[in-house]
Amino acid sequence: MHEFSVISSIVDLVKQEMEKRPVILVKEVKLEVGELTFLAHGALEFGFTALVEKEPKIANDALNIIPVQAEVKCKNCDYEGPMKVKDSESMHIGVPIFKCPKCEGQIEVIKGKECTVVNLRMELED
Amino acid sequence: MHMTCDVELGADILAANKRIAEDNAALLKKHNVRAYDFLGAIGSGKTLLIEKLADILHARGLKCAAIAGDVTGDDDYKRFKAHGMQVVNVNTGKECHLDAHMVDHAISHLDLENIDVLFIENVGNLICPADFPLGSEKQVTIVSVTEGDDMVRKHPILMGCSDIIVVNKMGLAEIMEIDPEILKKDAAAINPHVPVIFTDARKETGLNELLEAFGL
Ligand SMILES: Nc1nc2c(ncn2[C@@H]2O[C@H](COP(=O)(O)OP(=O)(O)OP(=O)(O)O)[C@@H](O)[C@H]2O)c(=O)[nH]1
Ligand SMILES: [Mg+2]
Ligand SMILES: [Zn+2]
Ligand SMILES: [Zn+2]
Ligand SMILES: [Zn+2]
Repeated sequence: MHEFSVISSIVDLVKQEMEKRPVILVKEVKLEVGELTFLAHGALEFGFTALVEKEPKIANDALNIIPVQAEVKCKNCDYEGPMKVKDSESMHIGVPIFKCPKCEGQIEVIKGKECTVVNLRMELED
Repeated sequence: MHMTCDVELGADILAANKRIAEDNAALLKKHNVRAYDFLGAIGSGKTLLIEKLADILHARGLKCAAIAGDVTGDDDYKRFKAHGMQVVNVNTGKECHLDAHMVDHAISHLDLENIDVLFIENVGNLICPADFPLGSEKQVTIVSVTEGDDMVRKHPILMGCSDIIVVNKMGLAEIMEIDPEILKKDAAAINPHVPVIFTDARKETGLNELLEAFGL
Protein backbone atom coordinates (compact mmCIF):
# COMPACT_ATOMS: atom_id res chain seq x y z
CA MET A 1 0.00 0.00 0.00
CA HIS A 2 2.95 2.30 0.55
CA GLU A 3 4.92 0.92 -2.37
CA PHE A 4 4.55 4.18 -4.21
CA SER A 5 6.34 6.24 -1.57
CA VAL A 6 9.05 3.58 -1.27
CA ILE A 7 9.60 3.48 -5.01
CA SER A 8 9.64 7.30 -5.16
CA SER A 9 12.53 7.33 -2.69
CA ILE A 10 14.30 4.78 -4.87
CA VAL A 11 13.85 6.82 -8.05
CA ASP A 12 15.07 9.94 -6.19
CA LEU A 13 18.16 8.02 -5.12
CA VAL A 14 18.80 6.89 -8.69
CA LYS A 15 18.49 10.49 -9.93
CA GLN A 16 20.97 11.66 -7.29
CA GLU A 17 23.47 9.09 -8.50
CA MET A 18 22.87 10.10 -12.12
CA GLU A 19 23.84 13.69 -11.36
CA LYS A 20 27.28 12.55 -10.25
CA ARG A 21 28.32 11.23 -13.67
CA PRO A 22 27.66 11.64 -17.41
CA VAL A 23 24.89 9.06 -17.71
CA ILE A 24 23.41 8.02 -21.03
CA LEU A 25 21.13 5.34 -19.66
CA VAL A 26 20.40 3.60 -16.39
CA LYS A 27 20.05 -0.01 -17.46
CA GLU A 28 19.47 -1.75 -14.19
CA VAL A 29 18.39 -0.88 -10.67
CA LYS A 30 18.99 -3.94 -8.58
CA LEU A 31 16.70 -3.99 -5.57
CA GLU A 32 16.74 -6.58 -2.81
CA VAL A 33 13.40 -6.93 -1.04
CA GLY A 34 13.24 -8.95 2.17
CA GLU A 35 10.51 -11.57 2.32
CA LEU A 36 9.30 -10.24 5.69
CA THR A 37 8.47 -6.80 4.31
CA PHE A 38 4.97 -6.01 3.12
CA LEU A 39 6.13 -4.62 -0.20
CA ALA A 40 4.34 -6.21 -3.12
CA HIS A 41 6.77 -6.67 -6.01
CA GLY A 42 4.14 -6.04 -8.65
CA ALA A 43 3.18 -2.73 -7.07
CA LEU A 44 6.84 -1.69 -6.89
CA GLU A 45 7.29 -2.49 -10.57
CA PHE A 46 4.12 -0.67 -11.52
CA GLY A 47 5.15 2.41 -9.55
CA PHE A 48 8.62 2.36 -11.06
CA THR A 49 7.34 2.20 -14.62
CA ALA A 50 4.91 5.05 -13.94
CA LEU A 51 7.61 7.23 -12.38
CA VAL A 52 10.29 6.74 -15.03
CA GLU A 53 7.95 7.09 -17.97
CA LYS A 54 9.09 10.67 -18.46
CA GLU A 55 12.74 9.97 -17.64
CA PRO A 56 14.45 9.21 -20.95
CA LYS A 57 17.66 8.25 -19.20
CA ILE A 58 16.14 5.49 -17.07
CA ALA A 59 15.11 2.32 -18.89
CA ASN A 60 11.46 1.40 -18.29
CA ASP A 61 12.35 -2.13 -17.34
CA ALA A 62 15.43 -1.24 -15.29
CA LEU A 63 14.01 -2.37 -11.97
CA ASN A 64 15.26 -5.83 -11.09
CA ILE A 65 13.75 -7.11 -7.85
CA ILE A 66 15.55 -9.87 -6.04
CA PRO A 67 13.69 -11.50 -3.16
CA VAL A 68 15.78 -12.02 -0.06
CA GLN A 69 15.17 -14.94 2.23
CA ALA A 70 14.71 -14.15 5.91
CA GLU A 71 17.32 -15.14 8.46
CA VAL A 72 16.91 -15.46 12.17
CA LYS A 73 19.00 -15.90 15.26
CA CYS A 74 17.86 -17.99 18.20
CA LYS A 75 17.77 -16.39 21.64
CA ASN A 76 18.09 -19.80 23.23
CA CYS A 77 20.63 -21.85 21.26
CA ASP A 78 23.33 -21.00 18.73
CA TYR A 79 21.14 -21.32 15.62
CA GLU A 80 21.56 -18.69 12.95
CA GLY A 81 20.08 -19.19 9.50
CA PRO A 82 16.88 -19.43 7.47
CA MET A 83 13.46 -19.74 9.07
CA LYS A 84 11.40 -22.86 9.02
CA VAL A 85 8.76 -22.53 6.32
CA LYS A 86 5.49 -24.37 6.39
CA ASP A 87 4.00 -25.16 3.02
CA SER A 88 0.36 -24.44 2.86
CA GLU A 89 -1.91 -25.87 0.19
CA SER A 90 -4.38 -23.06 0.53
CA MET A 91 -1.77 -20.34 0.20
CA HIS A 92 0.53 -19.80 -2.73
CA ILE A 93 3.51 -19.01 -0.59
CA GLY A 94 5.13 -20.88 2.25
CA VAL A 95 4.38 -19.48 5.69
CA PRO A 96 7.44 -18.62 7.77
CA ILE A 97 7.33 -20.00 11.30
CA PHE A 98 8.62 -17.69 14.01
CA LYS A 99 10.47 -20.16 16.18
CA CYS A 100 13.93 -21.67 16.14
CA PRO A 101 14.08 -24.54 13.61
CA LYS A 102 16.52 -26.30 15.92
CA CYS A 103 15.17 -25.90 19.47
CA GLU A 104 11.82 -24.09 18.94
CA GLY A 105 13.12 -21.19 21.05
CA GLN A 106 12.31 -17.52 20.55
CA ILE A 107 14.01 -15.92 17.59
CA GLU A 108 15.19 -12.53 16.47
CA VAL A 109 14.90 -11.60 12.80
CA ILE A 110 18.31 -10.53 11.49
CA LYS A 111 17.51 -10.41 7.77
CA GLY A 112 14.42 -10.09 5.60
CA LYS A 113 13.02 -6.69 6.62
CA GLU A 114 15.12 -4.61 4.26
CA CYS A 115 14.49 -2.96 0.92
CA THR A 116 17.95 -2.25 -0.40
CA VAL A 117 19.15 -0.67 -3.63
CA VAL A 118 22.24 -2.80 -4.05
CA ASN A 119 23.53 -1.81 -7.43
CA LEU A 120 23.00 0.54 -10.37
CA ARG A 121 24.20 -0.39 -13.83
CA MET A 122 24.63 2.63 -16.05
CA GLU A 123 25.90 3.38 -19.49
CA LEU A 124 28.20 6.40 -19.38
CA GLU A 125 29.61 8.79 -21.94
CA ASP A 126 33.23 8.00 -22.72
CA MET B 1 30.82 1.67 -27.63
CA HIS B 2 29.92 3.37 -24.43
CA MET B 3 31.24 2.44 -21.08
CA THR B 4 29.03 0.51 -18.68
CA CYS B 5 29.60 1.06 -15.01
CA ASP B 6 28.25 -0.48 -11.84
CA VAL B 7 27.68 1.61 -8.78
CA GLU B 8 27.32 -0.35 -5.60
CA LEU B 9 25.00 1.44 -3.23
CA GLY B 10 23.71 -0.84 -0.50
CA ALA B 11 21.13 1.77 0.48
CA ASP B 12 18.27 0.38 2.58
CA ILE B 13 15.22 2.52 1.87
CA LEU B 14 13.58 1.43 5.13
CA ALA B 15 16.70 2.06 7.23
CA ALA B 16 16.09 5.78 7.78
CA ASN B 17 12.80 4.94 9.48
CA LYS B 18 14.48 2.28 11.63
CA ARG B 19 17.11 4.79 12.78
CA ILE B 20 14.50 7.37 13.80
CA ALA B 21 12.54 4.63 15.58
CA GLU B 22 15.65 3.82 17.62
CA ASP B 23 16.05 7.51 18.51
CA ASN B 24 12.40 7.64 19.57
CA ALA B 25 12.88 4.57 21.75
CA ALA B 26 15.97 6.09 23.38
CA LEU B 27 14.19 9.40 24.07
CA LEU B 28 11.17 7.65 25.60
CA LYS B 29 13.42 5.48 27.72
CA LYS B 30 15.34 8.49 28.98
CA HIS B 31 12.06 9.92 30.28
CA ASN B 32 10.87 6.58 31.66
CA VAL B 33 7.93 6.45 29.28
CA ARG B 34 6.65 2.98 28.38
CA ALA B 35 5.26 3.04 24.83
CA TYR B 36 2.96 0.59 23.05
CA ASP B 37 1.78 0.79 19.49
CA PHE B 38 -1.59 -0.58 18.48
CA LEU B 39 -2.25 -1.74 14.98
CA GLY B 40 -5.17 -3.56 13.54
CA ALA B 41 -7.98 -3.43 11.04
CA ILE B 42 -10.42 -0.52 10.92
CA GLY B 43 -12.92 -0.74 13.75
CA SER B 44 -11.23 -3.65 15.56
CA GLY B 45 -11.39 -1.66 18.79
CA LYS B 46 -7.99 0.04 19.08
CA THR B 47 -9.34 3.32 20.42
CA LEU B 48 -11.82 1.79 22.87
CA LEU B 49 -9.16 -0.57 24.27
CA ILE B 50 -6.74 2.31 24.81
CA GLU B 51 -9.49 4.38 26.49
CA LYS B 52 -10.29 1.53 28.87
CA LEU B 53 -6.65 0.70 29.62
CA ALA B 54 -5.96 4.37 30.33
CA ASP B 55 -8.84 4.47 32.84
CA ILE B 56 -7.37 1.51 34.71
CA LEU B 57 -3.86 2.97 34.68
CA HIS B 58 -5.11 6.40 35.78
CA ALA B 59 -6.83 4.73 38.74
CA ARG B 60 -3.45 3.25 39.63
CA GLY B 61 -1.96 6.73 39.61
CA LEU B 62 -0.09 6.40 36.30
CA LYS B 63 -0.30 9.14 33.69
CA CYS B 64 -1.23 8.07 30.15
CA ALA B 65 -0.86 9.84 26.83
CA ALA B 66 -1.80 8.94 23.28
CA ILE B 67 -0.76 9.62 19.73
CA ALA B 68 -3.82 9.25 17.51
CA GLY B 69 -2.89 8.26 13.98
CA ASP B 70 -5.60 8.55 11.41
CA VAL B 71 -5.86 9.33 7.73
CA THR B 72 -8.08 12.36 8.46
CA GLY B 73 -10.21 13.78 11.26
CA ASP B 74 -9.88 14.05 15.02
CA ASP B 75 -12.51 11.62 16.32
CA ASP B 76 -10.08 9.38 18.18
CA TYR B 77 -8.20 12.45 19.44
CA LYS B 78 -11.37 13.75 21.10
CA ARG B 79 -12.13 10.36 22.64
CA PHE B 80 -8.67 10.16 24.23
CA LYS B 81 -8.87 13.78 25.38
CA ALA B 82 -12.11 13.01 27.24
CA HIS B 83 -10.13 10.58 29.42
CA GLY B 84 -7.76 13.27 30.61
CA MET B 85 -4.83 12.15 28.49
CA GLN B 86 -2.26 14.31 26.77
CA VAL B 87 -2.99 13.64 23.10
CA VAL B 88 -1.41 14.50 19.78
CA ASN B 89 -3.42 14.01 16.61
CA VAL B 90 -1.46 12.89 13.56
CA ASN B 91 -3.23 12.94 10.22
CA THR B 92 -1.28 10.91 7.74
CA GLY B 93 -3.19 12.19 4.69
CA LYS B 94 -2.46 9.87 1.81
CA GLU B 95 -0.16 7.60 3.78
CA CYS B 96 -1.61 4.37 5.04
CA HIS B 97 0.60 4.14 8.13
CA LEU B 98 2.38 6.16 10.78
CA ASP B 99 6.14 6.29 10.44
CA ALA B 100 8.86 6.99 12.97
CA HIS B 101 9.35 10.54 11.73
CA MET B 102 5.69 11.43 12.35
CA VAL B 103 5.93 9.91 15.82
CA ASP B 104 9.12 11.87 16.46
CA HIS B 105 7.22 15.09 15.69
CA ALA B 106 4.26 14.02 17.80
CA ILE B 107 6.50 13.20 20.77
CA SER B 108 8.00 16.69 20.60
CA HIS B 109 4.53 18.05 21.43
CA LEU B 110 4.24 15.94 24.58
CA ASP B 111 5.43 16.76 28.06
CA LEU B 112 7.30 13.50 28.57
CA GLU B 113 8.13 14.24 32.21
CA ASN B 114 4.43 13.95 32.96
CA ILE B 115 3.80 10.68 31.13
CA ASP B 116 4.26 7.13 32.34
CA VAL B 117 2.57 5.24 29.52
CA LEU B 118 2.22 6.28 25.88
CA PHE B 119 -0.23 4.57 23.56
CA ILE B 120 0.28 5.01 19.84
CA GLU B 121 -2.76 4.17 17.72
CA ASN B 122 -1.69 3.42 14.18
CA VAL B 123 -3.89 3.97 11.13
CA GLY B 124 -6.50 1.22 10.79
CA ASN B 125 -4.71 -1.10 8.41
CA LEU B 126 -3.56 -4.63 9.03
CA ILE B 127 -0.82 -4.77 6.48
CA CYS B 128 1.78 -2.15 6.05
CA PRO B 129 2.43 -0.50 9.43
CA ALA B 130 4.72 -3.44 10.15
CA ASP B 131 7.33 -2.09 7.71
CA PHE B 132 7.65 1.03 9.83
CA PRO B 133 8.66 0.46 13.44
CA LEU B 134 7.94 3.54 15.56
CA GLY B 135 10.16 3.08 18.58
CA SER B 136 7.62 1.57 20.95
CA GLU B 137 8.41 -1.10 23.49
CA LYS B 138 5.83 -3.52 22.14
CA GLN B 139 3.86 -3.82 18.94
CA VAL B 140 0.33 -4.90 19.75
CA THR B 141 -1.85 -6.28 16.97
CA ILE B 142 -5.61 -6.15 17.47
CA VAL B 143 -8.02 -8.43 15.68
CA SER B 144 -11.66 -8.78 16.61
CA VAL B 145 -13.93 -11.78 16.41
CA THR B 146 -16.22 -9.90 14.01
CA GLU B 147 -13.53 -10.10 11.34
CA GLY B 148 -13.79 -13.88 11.14
CA ASP B 149 -11.72 -16.77 12.48
CA ASP B 150 -9.12 -16.67 9.70
CA MET B 151 -7.66 -13.22 10.46
CA VAL B 152 -4.54 -14.62 12.10
CA ARG B 153 -3.58 -17.17 9.48
CA LYS B 154 -4.31 -14.70 6.69
CA HIS B 155 -1.60 -12.39 8.04
CA PRO B 156 1.16 -14.75 9.15
CA ILE B 157 4.09 -12.35 8.83
CA LEU B 158 2.41 -9.50 10.68
CA MET B 159 1.27 -11.85 13.44
CA GLY B 160 4.68 -13.49 13.59
CA CYS B 161 6.37 -10.12 14.03
CA SER B 162 3.93 -8.86 16.70
CA ASP B 163 4.84 -8.80 20.37
CA ILE B 164 1.27 -9.31 21.55
CA ILE B 165 -1.90 -10.36 19.71
CA VAL B 166 -5.24 -9.21 21.11
CA VAL B 167 -8.51 -10.87 20.11
CA ASN B 168 -11.12 -8.22 20.93
CA LYS B 169 -14.94 -8.15 21.00
CA MET B 170 -15.00 -11.57 22.69
CA GLY B 171 -18.56 -10.88 23.86
CA LEU B 172 -19.64 -11.13 20.24
CA ALA B 173 -17.95 -14.46 19.50
CA GLU B 174 -21.07 -16.51 20.12
CA ILE B 175 -23.27 -14.23 18.00
CA MET B 176 -20.70 -14.40 15.21
CA GLU B 177 -20.58 -18.17 15.67
CA ILE B 178 -16.84 -18.22 15.67
CA ASP B 179 -14.49 -20.13 17.92
CA PRO B 180 -11.78 -17.74 19.17
CA GLU B 181 -9.59 -20.70 20.09
CA ILE B 182 -8.98 -21.11 16.34
CA LEU B 183 -7.31 -17.68 16.29
CA LYS B 184 -5.18 -18.68 19.26
CA LYS B 185 -4.21 -22.00 17.67
CA ASP B 186 -3.28 -20.32 14.38
CA ALA B 187 -1.14 -17.79 16.24
CA ALA B 188 0.62 -20.56 18.16
CA ALA B 189 1.41 -22.34 14.88
CA ILE B 190 3.00 -19.20 13.42
CA ASN B 191 4.70 -17.93 16.56
CA PRO B 192 4.38 -19.95 19.78
CA HIS B 193 6.17 -17.19 21.69
CA VAL B 194 3.64 -14.41 21.13
CA PRO B 195 0.97 -14.10 23.84
CA VAL B 196 -2.63 -14.07 22.61
CA ILE B 197 -4.99 -12.15 24.92
CA PHE B 198 -8.80 -12.35 24.70
CA THR B 199 -10.51 -9.06 25.53
CA ASP B 200 -13.81 -7.30 25.29
CA ALA B 201 -13.36 -3.57 25.55
CA ARG B 202 -17.09 -2.92 25.98
CA LYS B 203 -17.53 -5.53 28.72
CA GLU B 204 -14.09 -4.69 30.12
CA THR B 205 -12.81 -8.24 30.20
CA GLY B 206 -9.21 -9.35 29.74
CA LEU B 207 -7.85 -5.85 30.31
CA ASN B 208 -5.76 -6.64 33.36
CA GLU B 209 -4.32 -9.65 31.61
CA LEU B 210 -3.38 -7.40 28.70
CA LEU B 211 -1.67 -4.91 31.00
CA GLU B 212 0.23 -7.80 32.55
CA ALA B 213 1.45 -8.78 29.08
CA PHE B 214 2.59 -5.17 28.68
CA GLY B 215 4.59 -5.56 31.86
CA LEU B 216 2.44 -2.93 33.61
N1 LIG C 1 -19.19 -5.24 21.41
C1 LIG C 1 -17.98 -4.69 21.37
N2 LIG C 1 -17.81 -3.57 20.66
C2 LIG C 1 -16.57 -3.01 20.63
C3 LIG C 1 -15.48 -3.58 21.32
N3 LIG C 1 -14.38 -2.82 21.09
C4 LIG C 1 -14.79 -1.81 20.30
N4 LIG C 1 -16.10 -1.91 20.03
C5 LIG C 1 -16.93 -1.03 19.20
O1 LIG C 1 -16.47 -1.13 17.85
C6 LIG C 1 -16.52 0.12 17.21
C7 LIG C 1 -15.12 0.52 16.73
O2 LIG C 1 -14.28 0.68 17.86
P1 LIG C 1 -13.03 1.65 17.84
O3 LIG C 1 -12.40 1.60 19.19
O4 LIG C 1 -13.41 2.98 17.33
O5 LIG C 1 -12.13 0.90 16.76
P2 LIG C 1 -10.75 1.39 16.10
O6 LIG C 1 -9.97 0.16 15.86
O7 LIG C 1 -10.13 2.45 16.92
O8 LIG C 1 -11.26 1.99 14.71
P3 LIG C 1 -10.46 2.95 13.68
O9 LIG C 1 -9.66 3.92 14.50
O10 LIG C 1 -11.53 3.60 12.89
O11 LIG C 1 -9.61 2.05 12.86
C8 LIG C 1 -17.07 1.09 18.23
O12 LIG C 1 -18.45 1.20 18.04
C9 LIG C 1 -16.77 0.43 19.56
O13 LIG C 1 -17.62 0.82 20.59
C10 LIG C 1 -15.70 -4.79 22.05
O14 LIG C 1 -14.80 -5.36 22.67
N5 LIG C 1 -16.97 -5.30 22.04
MG1 LIG D 1 -9.52 4.38 16.40
ZN1 LIG E 1 17.35 -22.46 19.06
ZN1 LIG F 1 1.63 2.08 4.47
ZN1 LIG G 1 10.43 16.75 10.32
